[in-house]
Amino acid sequence: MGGAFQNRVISSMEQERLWILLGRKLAGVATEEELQELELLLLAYGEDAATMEIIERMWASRAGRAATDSDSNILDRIETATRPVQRTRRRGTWAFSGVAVCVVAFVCWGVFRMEGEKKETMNVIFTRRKSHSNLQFPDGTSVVLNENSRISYNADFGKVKREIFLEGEAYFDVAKNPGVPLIIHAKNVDIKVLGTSFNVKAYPADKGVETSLIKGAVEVSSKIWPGQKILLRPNEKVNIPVSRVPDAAGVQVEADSNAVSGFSDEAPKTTPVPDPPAIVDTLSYNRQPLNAERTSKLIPEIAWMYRKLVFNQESFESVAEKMERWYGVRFYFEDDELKKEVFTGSFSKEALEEALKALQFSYPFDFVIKKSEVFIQRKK
Amino acid sequence: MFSIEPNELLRQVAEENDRHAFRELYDIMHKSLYDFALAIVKLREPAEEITADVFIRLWEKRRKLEHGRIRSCRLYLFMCVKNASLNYLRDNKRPEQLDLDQVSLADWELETNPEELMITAEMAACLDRAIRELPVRCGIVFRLVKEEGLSYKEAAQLLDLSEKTIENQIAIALKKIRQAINFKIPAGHS
Repeated sequence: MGGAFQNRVISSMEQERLWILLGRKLAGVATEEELQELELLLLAYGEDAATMEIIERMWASRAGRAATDSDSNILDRIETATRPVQRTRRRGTWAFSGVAVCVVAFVCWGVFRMEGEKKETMNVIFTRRKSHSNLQFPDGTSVVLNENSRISYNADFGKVKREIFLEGEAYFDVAKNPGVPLIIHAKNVDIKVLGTSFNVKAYPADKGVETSLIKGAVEVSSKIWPGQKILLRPNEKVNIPVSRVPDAAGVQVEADSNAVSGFSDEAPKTTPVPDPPAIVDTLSYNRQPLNAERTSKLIPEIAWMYRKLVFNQESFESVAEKMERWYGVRFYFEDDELKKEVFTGSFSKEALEEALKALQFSYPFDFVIKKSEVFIQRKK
Repeated sequence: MFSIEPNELLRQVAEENDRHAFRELYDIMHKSLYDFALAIVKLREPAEEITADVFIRLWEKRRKLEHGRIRSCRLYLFMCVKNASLNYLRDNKRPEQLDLDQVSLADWELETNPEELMITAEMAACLDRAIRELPVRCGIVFRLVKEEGLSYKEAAQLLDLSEKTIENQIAIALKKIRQAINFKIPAGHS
């Protein structure tokens, strides 16, 4: 497609158009068509890839600004003006000191000590089913934690290192601090963050770690393929398998998880693989674009933050997986062909039955709900 | 896309009466709002007052903030600051129109970080200079869209400009930035 365009001299009008389109893309207001048009112009503009990359990174990084001294004055005023009348509040509650994290309802906050000589103190925050949590770190980084998720971080977060361990799913908006890089560990995948917004999904039942980049740049690597790094661009996602034996182990884990209930707090069960599986020596991964679903205008990967379940051209199997987590149920398919049907749509407050009925509109099938199990059958 | 946070926080403030969320919202937004007020009124103390007042009023009005009526918390807060700043100008017998060419961006000092962008310090300095030297109108649009994540529509509404103007100003800013760094890129870098 791009071949004909390669090395063609770009006209000045096209150049103007290129900057307009790049601006729209960076500002997140470009349409699908505009993005494609930009791609073509950039192909024609091939020699400039490096500049474009710097501009994109520049846009994604948030510029540093020093806090002003006046902050505390304003805070004092606001504190006085908004203090609840009945309760006596200790002055200075506003001024969090050290590592203070604000946690909304339903979140438990615990501190435990790691074993070992240094006894590094870790803070742990977790959410239960159907609850989210907004966390604000003192360095300005904010994290939205999805349900049934858990993060832990070093108590001196921000001083010498910024490390976050994630189990489950979270959306990160990371404040830049070049002196102290931020690394997110999810299963055996490490995500090195260069100041940005992105989503990481790594539930125990997931076969991989899915990183979806909204803004900025992140570098994804896996401990089992050392030395290989993937630099994600905005609006891309990558799913890194947790195991080096994608097919054999993939099937195994899936078969296994079919046997347990939809959402479990237990550690994932690992069944030994009978035959020596084929080991994949190089990391093969799949870069995919993030596409907003048309009616809700939400990117499915981060729709959970809006308390919505969104899927865009996804297989029934993947839709079922999402619904299992959402409704706390378990799906069973009559046959594998059914799993391949493709759906697009979004749910927020619909009950399970309503949601399934809505799906039936785009592809007719029968379903039976028995307690927390859903059986999907071919239309008779 | 990072405007999600303020929206969610505002919801928690309005619906759950959540002081922590209010504090978080303050932490995320106050510096940008203060900068914006300062750019309009050009005096530190009034700009502080204006920013504080906007937050205090937000807290007082929290129960009246119907869910869904404020579609973008960021835009809402910027609008509040803009109106309060223009009121201040009026009360002090100064022109009460948002005259972008009279805005001062002197205190919006933004610094690029070379490590994060994987570029040399020299190039980062070039970038910063290019951004600093943008015409005021262009500079303010660039900052609001890039740093504050306002959409074109929101920026247009806030600055009383057309969306087309916002689009053109962003294109101009990108072009200038590109000119500044273009010749600095070593051959073969990709």
